[in-house]
Amino acid sequence: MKAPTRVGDAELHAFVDGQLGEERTREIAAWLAEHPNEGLRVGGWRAQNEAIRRAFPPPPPRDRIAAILRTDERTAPARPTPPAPPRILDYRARLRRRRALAIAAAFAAGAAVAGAIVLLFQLVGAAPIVSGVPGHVEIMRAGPDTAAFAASAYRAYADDRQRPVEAAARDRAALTAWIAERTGLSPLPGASGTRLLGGRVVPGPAATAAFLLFETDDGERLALVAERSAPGASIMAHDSVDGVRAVAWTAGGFDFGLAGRMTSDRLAALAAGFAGQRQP
Amino acid sequence: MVQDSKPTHHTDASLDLALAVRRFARALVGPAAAQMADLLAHEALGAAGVPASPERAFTEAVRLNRRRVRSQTAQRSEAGSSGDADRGESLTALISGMPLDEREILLIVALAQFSYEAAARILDIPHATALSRLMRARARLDAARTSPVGRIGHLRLVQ
Repeated sequence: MKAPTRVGDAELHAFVDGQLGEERTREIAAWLAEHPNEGLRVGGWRAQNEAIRRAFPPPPPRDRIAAILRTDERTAPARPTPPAPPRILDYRARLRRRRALAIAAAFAAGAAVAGAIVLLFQLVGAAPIVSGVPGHVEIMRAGPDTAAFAASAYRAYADDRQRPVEAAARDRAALTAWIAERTGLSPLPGASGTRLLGGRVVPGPAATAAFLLFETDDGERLALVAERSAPGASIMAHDSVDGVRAVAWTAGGFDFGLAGRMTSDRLAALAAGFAGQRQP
Repeated sequence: MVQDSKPTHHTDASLDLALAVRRFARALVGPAAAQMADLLAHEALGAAGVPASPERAFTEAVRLNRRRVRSQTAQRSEAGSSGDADRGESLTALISGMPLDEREILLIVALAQFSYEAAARILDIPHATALSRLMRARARLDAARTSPVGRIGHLRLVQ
């Protein structure tokens, strides 16, 4: 190979950035060996490149489960307002309402919600990313599909007033056995402040999945879907559609999605309840 | 026909891309605002669609960041404040203190390691412009360090 007589700066930069073909790279390397001043400049740029890569290290892979907490400074502490029943009909309803308010109060402080989510992600083994951007709490993880799946399952089944579930929670043992056999999910998840209504086996994005319908103390329906985790994941968001919000997370080898018509703070708090309960 | 039941977007490639975009966004926005950078990366990935090509995702990140910088500049000139770029001699400080157009090309090439052609497309500028900005960025770093070339490898790094 023959060293070129003159190499321009543009080509030296291209050399540093590995933009040249193999042959031209060899030629320039040979030329630089004979031009030490240019060689020093090139070495400096190369060191710059390396220093830049070190200065901005790749985010750790466990960040694949990521949470973005958005707290609105102006309205914080945000109070998730449960839809107030029009009238208190009886003593039990009043009790339910009180419990709902107590739960709402528990999550009233943004810090409480943040704490729950941080705890959740410590349990799951991932660091949450806390964002200072105004808005609301949102959990993101692992591809849009689990959250989207939860949202569409919510619309298909939870919105169904005729027959939302295939097997009612009355016969809990049978439901547990059926879900465990068909999807591997066992035991059935739960969270305080919610009541299992029933479930069914549904086709998930990647595998046969469990659909479980819950009701919160103040009568809001919640759809929980769970399917065995697919390997690999991407960080994607899922936004709410038609007022149905969904969050997703991974725990114990399952992808979970939770959907409901409620504020994302409230949904995130409930998701923290489900996720925390699932931990071994 | 055997049906392939594997999901198509649960791939390591899309995870790698997501992480690469976040890394780039953090460098572009500056270490002082990592959370904003993560949000920006997240929005860029969302805007790029699924499955996103790397070039498309980075294009969105650049676009969103330019929009952010424009609105920030407008706010600053109203408030009369001088900005939040971290000051000092560290490499990260030098890079956040750079003009945006130089910072963009430097990070696309040095950090994200795109080809010059792809970098020019991502930044929506002619190839020659991309190259001259890159050269200016490097000259600026050299000058700011005012150090013997050999010392550049020992830049103080800020986590």
